[in-house]
Amino acid sequence: MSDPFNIDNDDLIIQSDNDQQKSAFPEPMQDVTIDSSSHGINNSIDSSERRGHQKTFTGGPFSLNYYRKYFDLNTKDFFANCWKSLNPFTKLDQYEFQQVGDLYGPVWITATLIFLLFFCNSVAQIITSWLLNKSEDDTETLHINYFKILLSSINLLYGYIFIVPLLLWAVLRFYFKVVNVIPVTKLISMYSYSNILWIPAALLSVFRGLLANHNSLDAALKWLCIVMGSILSGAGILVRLHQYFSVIFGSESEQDSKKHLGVLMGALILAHVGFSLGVKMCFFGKL
Amino acid sequence: MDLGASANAGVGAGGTPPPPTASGLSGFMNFANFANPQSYIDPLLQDSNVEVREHQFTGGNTLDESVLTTLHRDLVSITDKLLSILWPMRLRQKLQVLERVSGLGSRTSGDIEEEGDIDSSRDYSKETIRKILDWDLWGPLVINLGFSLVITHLQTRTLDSSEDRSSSIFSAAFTLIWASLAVLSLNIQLVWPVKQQTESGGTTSGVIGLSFFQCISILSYTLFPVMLGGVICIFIHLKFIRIIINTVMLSWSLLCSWLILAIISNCRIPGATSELIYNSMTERDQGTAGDKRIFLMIYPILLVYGLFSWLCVIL
Repeated sequence: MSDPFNIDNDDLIIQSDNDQQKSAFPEPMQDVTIDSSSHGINNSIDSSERRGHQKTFTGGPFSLNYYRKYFDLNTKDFFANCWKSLNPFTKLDQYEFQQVGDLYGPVWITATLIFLLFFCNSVAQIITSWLLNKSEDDTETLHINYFKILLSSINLLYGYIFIVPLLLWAVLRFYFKVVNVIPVTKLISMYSYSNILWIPAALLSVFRGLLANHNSLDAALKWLCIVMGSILSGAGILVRLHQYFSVIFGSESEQDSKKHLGVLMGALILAHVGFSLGVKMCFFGKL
Repeated sequence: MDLGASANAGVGAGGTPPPPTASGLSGFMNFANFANPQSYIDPLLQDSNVEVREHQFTGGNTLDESVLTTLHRDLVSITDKLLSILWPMRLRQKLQVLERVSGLGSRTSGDIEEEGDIDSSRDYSKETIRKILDWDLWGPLVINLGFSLVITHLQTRTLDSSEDRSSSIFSAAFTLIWASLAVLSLNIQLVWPVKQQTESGGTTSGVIGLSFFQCISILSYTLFPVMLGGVICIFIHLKFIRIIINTVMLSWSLLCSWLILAIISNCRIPGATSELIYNSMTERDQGTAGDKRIFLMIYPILLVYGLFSWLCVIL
């Protein structure tokens, strides 16, 4: 059975009608060329002219133009991506694993997360102080150093989004020596779009402010938010990666593939749990 | 403009006939030529990063003039920018004029402008664009310093006063502000649909690019209302009123930055393919390439400015 990722011989790629994907430019290290339609500004040009209209982003890696290919999306594309990743259990189509991912999502969805977590927890704090009628100069609110919270959360979230996929990609490429490996940026963007699912958890945590007097209920809500956010986003990442891994390791023997799959998934789950604990320590108070 | 005429003919051959106001179309061409004449004439040899010629001062030798003249000139440009922020209706008016010139926006089919009218509004738009693209770093300096002072003052008021951490807070705030301005400018530069070369050797259409310092300058001037909100928050202690005021200031900032970005995204450079097939008609109907991405640029600005306003509220 032919390797589904060997698209060299495929001129025909079946795409859905309202497909807004960008033209797939493989990373410089790969030899796969994919003929897919271009998008965006050239939407109006009919298909016979599409062949020649794929954008090349000239300039070496030290010019800004080289990195524009990771940001080449319109508002509609961005919302379509977000919508697709809202359901953590959808499977990605095969061709999507070879696309160059977009980096706009990782940077700004993580920023949204940081902002929302910061915002909701401080709103909860304010509501608490209102309810208990504390004065402005009370000692409780004096020692909260908002800057430290902000900076440590920026480090944690961006570190998780960029370093874990990088490590995963390095392992896949150099240890398992996968041939047509998924591009790094695609991994990173998959991780970040799954993190959209933390947003409902963050919004829920506003209600912690109303539970100022009930310590146990407060703790229960806290943990509920964390667990919910963690499970939803983790499910998103793991379902898609599982799909990808089962294709890669499909050609190996049964035992081997199970072992590799198990090890990789276990490591990723551990990383995700660690990340959730980090979020809890940052925003919801010490363990 | 020979090339303009031949591209015009290309539109006619492309299927949809050009509108009756052909003068409007060539007016738009000339306008784009002003913005970047070199790249339009020779798209294949152009550098990948579109460069706009930035003229700080096209007059004589600035070393010989008196200090007062220099100061006066700089002050005029700064006040002009501040005024356009403080009174955003002026910006909106300019945007509408620009859209009329470049053929976007609401145009009734029987609306044939007179030649003189188009020329004057074209000049007006050129003036607008030139003023916006004329960057200086006074804005970032003053606003950055001012805002860091505001935040330091607010934070040290609420923290424990036994240890004097004001200098570290000041440097943290300063760094945070200029780092986020830099990140926002990078974001605008990366998402901005600059024209690219296609594989067949032509170029896609795009918008003239903004340079890094232009973005920083524009963004820092639009941060000004948020800073005003912070200054007001020093004197008001009731959180509820602070929230209202800061929301108003935040939406004011966002409106200004949206208007400025929309104005600039109207400076389109038409693409040139090797067959000179050029779909200006359909592009015009859908809005410029820049318009399709404006939300992607405004949303991060919303996040960052929202963060700053929120810091002013809760501290």
